Amino acid sequence: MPEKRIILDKIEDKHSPNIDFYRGNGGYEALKKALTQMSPSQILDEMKASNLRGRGGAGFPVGVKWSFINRTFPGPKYLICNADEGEPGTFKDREILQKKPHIMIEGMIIGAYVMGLDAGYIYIRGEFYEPIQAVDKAIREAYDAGILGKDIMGSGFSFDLYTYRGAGAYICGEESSLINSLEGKRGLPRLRPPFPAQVGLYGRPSTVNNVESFSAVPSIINNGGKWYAGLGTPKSGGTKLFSISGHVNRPGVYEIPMGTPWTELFNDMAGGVKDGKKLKAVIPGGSSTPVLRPEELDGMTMDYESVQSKGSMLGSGAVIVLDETTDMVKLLYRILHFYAHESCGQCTPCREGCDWYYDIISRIRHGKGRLEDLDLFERLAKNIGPNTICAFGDAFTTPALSFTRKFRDEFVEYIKNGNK
Amino acid sequence: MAKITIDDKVIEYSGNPNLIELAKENGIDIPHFCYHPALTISGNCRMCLVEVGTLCKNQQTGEYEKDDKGNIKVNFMPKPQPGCYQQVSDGMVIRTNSERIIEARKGVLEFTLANHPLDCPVCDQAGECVLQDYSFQYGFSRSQFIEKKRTYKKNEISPVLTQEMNRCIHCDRCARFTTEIAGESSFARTWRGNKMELSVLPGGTITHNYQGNMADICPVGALTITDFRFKSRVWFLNYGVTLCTSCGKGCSVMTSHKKGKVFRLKPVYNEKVNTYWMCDHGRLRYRFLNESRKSGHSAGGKKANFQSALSLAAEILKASKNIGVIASAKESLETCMVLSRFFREVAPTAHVDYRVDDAQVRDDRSLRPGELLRAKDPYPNSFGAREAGLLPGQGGATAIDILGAPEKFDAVVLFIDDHIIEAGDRLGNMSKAKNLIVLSPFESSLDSTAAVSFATRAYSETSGTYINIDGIRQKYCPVLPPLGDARDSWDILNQLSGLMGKSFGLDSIGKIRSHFKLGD
Repeated sequence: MPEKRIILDKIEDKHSPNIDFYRGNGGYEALKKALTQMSPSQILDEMKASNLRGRGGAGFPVGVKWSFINRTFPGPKYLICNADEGEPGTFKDREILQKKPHIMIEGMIIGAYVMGLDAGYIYIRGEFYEPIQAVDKAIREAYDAGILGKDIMGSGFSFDLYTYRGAGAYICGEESSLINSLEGKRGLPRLRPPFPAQVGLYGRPSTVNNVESFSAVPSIINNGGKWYAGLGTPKSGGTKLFSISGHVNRPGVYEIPMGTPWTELFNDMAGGVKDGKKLKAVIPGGSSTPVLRPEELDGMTMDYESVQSKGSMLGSGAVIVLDETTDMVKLLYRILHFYAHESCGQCTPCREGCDWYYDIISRIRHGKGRLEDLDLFERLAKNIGPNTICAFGDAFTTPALSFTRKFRDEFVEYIKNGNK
Repeated sequence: MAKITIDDKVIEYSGNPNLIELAKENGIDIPHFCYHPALTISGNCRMCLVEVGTLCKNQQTGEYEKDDKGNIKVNFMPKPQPGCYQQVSDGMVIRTNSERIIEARKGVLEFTLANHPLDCPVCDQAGECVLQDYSFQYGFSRSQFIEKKRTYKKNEISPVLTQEMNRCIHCDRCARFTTEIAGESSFARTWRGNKMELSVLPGGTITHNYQGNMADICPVGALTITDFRFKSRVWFLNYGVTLCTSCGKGCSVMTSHKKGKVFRLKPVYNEKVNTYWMCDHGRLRYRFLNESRKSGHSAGGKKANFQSALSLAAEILKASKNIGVIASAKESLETCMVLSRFFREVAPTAHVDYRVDDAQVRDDRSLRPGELLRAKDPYPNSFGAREAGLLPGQGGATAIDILGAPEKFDAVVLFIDDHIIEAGDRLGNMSKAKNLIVLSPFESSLDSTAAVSFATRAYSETSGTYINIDGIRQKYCPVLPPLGDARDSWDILNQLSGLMGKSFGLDSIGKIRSHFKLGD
């Protein structure tokens, strides 16, 4: 299976961010079709049939999420686009935001139409300066073209869209802290229930989806949910963007159908390990997912189920390739430094656990580790992940455990002989 | 009625109760730090984790599924849930003591304690520290944390409070109190993650009058009341519940005392008056109970025994036609009743008044602007004094009149309380009074010029009733023994009535209450 560009179609053209170029290539036709020929429940059926799973990392079916919103609930309801792409290793949303913002906007308007939402917010991480410029420009163009605002395309449906710049906190990619941040509060995850579909932004029903999820919507409307589902595996529909980085010859963003063999993505598209070195490990879904050893990659296909069966997660599709020169101790040290810095500090196990983990790995990295530290990682993890408010606890214990389990000898070497 | 099972105990409930409260009412303790019934749920401490299960129902038949022993099967949620945030529903099964929960609790405590300095030997909270209690009850005895503990720069946050951030467990109660109860956005969580700090926001100061409560609800020694620091270990103190007398609200307070000295006041939950809180003004005014207290009576500036002081006072009152009486709304309703009757029947005069403060003159029963509890009226029993009829009769002089020109009266009966002393020059003219009879728990310069000066008991040493600004009657009991020969004011008046030939025979608080129909 070669690369199949649906979202990234014609993205290499320098005019691809412009509305004229986008419309010239079939853009906003799906919106027109949705508004004029389809009822919200028909669209919802197509979305469910498409097997589109949320692209932010958790993989929750988008159609099901959309059906949680009660269309008839009185008062304003909101749509939120999560463009706070913060997982180390992920850079797929930036591509869409910067080079093809209209496809996301189109998907958002369709989503708003389905759920009967009044306004949308695109929460973009603060570091994405150019993408914000591009999205702001695209929104202006869409307003000028009558695609946003009152009475969109003469359909009677109205929808407003705004961008909001985050301040660069990793945790604000978690939907409930994103909502808090959007409200001007500290970016702390909320207790659930209630879920955003009942009590979200400003206490109103809200839906949060990833940039890529919205961007997949227009093609589903144009070609039907069945067509989209058929592109992927029985449980994971469509195509997915993978950002592959690390020790590969051609790092970058690749759009491939779900279920594409790992070897195709890795060898044919990304060109294999750089400089002819040997592969040591792969982190398949961003820094918080378990690392995989080369032998575990045998027969793996790039879809949620297959990666899970190998003991890891597809996450946001952030593939980090590590060659034989990688020092796993130093890498884990770097990863845990990141998580210790990014914990919001709200709940006890994560606040105290993050820094504890970082302290332990710092000692190991600097040759002051003890063998029992590796067991301590294991023991502490049992009381972090299950006891925290959000998934951040799992996000930092997972790499720590998978690194120390799968590359234990390297850690033991550091502990016994110090940092050489 | 809906039912829920907590640790094999079936509990009936109605409405939408909080799980921690419901368990508490039924004798089951779910340990917690950040939950407080008066604040919003934060769910951050993770100490109150419980297992939550629902009864298995067969989808088709609608019947409960049973195991081999015939018990209904229970589906437990995969992760433990915070008890503070758990929506209770009919048929729910809660476990607070399963192996898994005990493990989870231990684990959470291990994290809570990881960076805690464990400086209990020098911490004022020791003895009433929730973290200390839970550590004994649920924690590990040893820590595997060998890293350098987190330390914070010391910050002065306010004169009332001393903050020791190193001890903080980040439960956020103080910050939630500040915004939700005190209505001020001056104190909040700052920084992030492990470096998170509870601090005064840049450029701001805590100005509200309820800061002491932040220390009260702090489960550890991160916030302590500066005034009480290093004064006494809490387990050496004695405790008694009484009322605060610093304004017309009458908050319920816990008095902590040792060797006859009061060390601090803390609010006691009183649903109708102050709920969980009290103001700093009232909290820190306990000092008057320790200072310049009078233990014996005097006559003409010299020590006198009670009987001779009493007969001298009786003679003066018998001989005087024109008597001015300045009562005090710090006295109990019982005393006010006896006093009122005394100056109607035994030594009749129209010049009786309790109103020495402007708020009393206006009969103002409102709170001070922006306050949660503190009333404009500085007296706890103005309502009671008014009910007892301690007001000038036809042509009678007011308290302000008498204070202004006491020399116009043949005799003046003056109640001196802490407020009138604090108010400063109110008593300036009183040395000109002829035949001054003073009743007071405090020493004053007037003791030397007064014809008779009685030592009375302070409210903390006697029983009585106050009626607060909202008309709520509250009884109080002595929490401290009386000083020396100090007597209750009603006792003095009752004995005077005997000496003056019209004995009331009201020689106990019970008799007064039944005589004036004040209830038991």
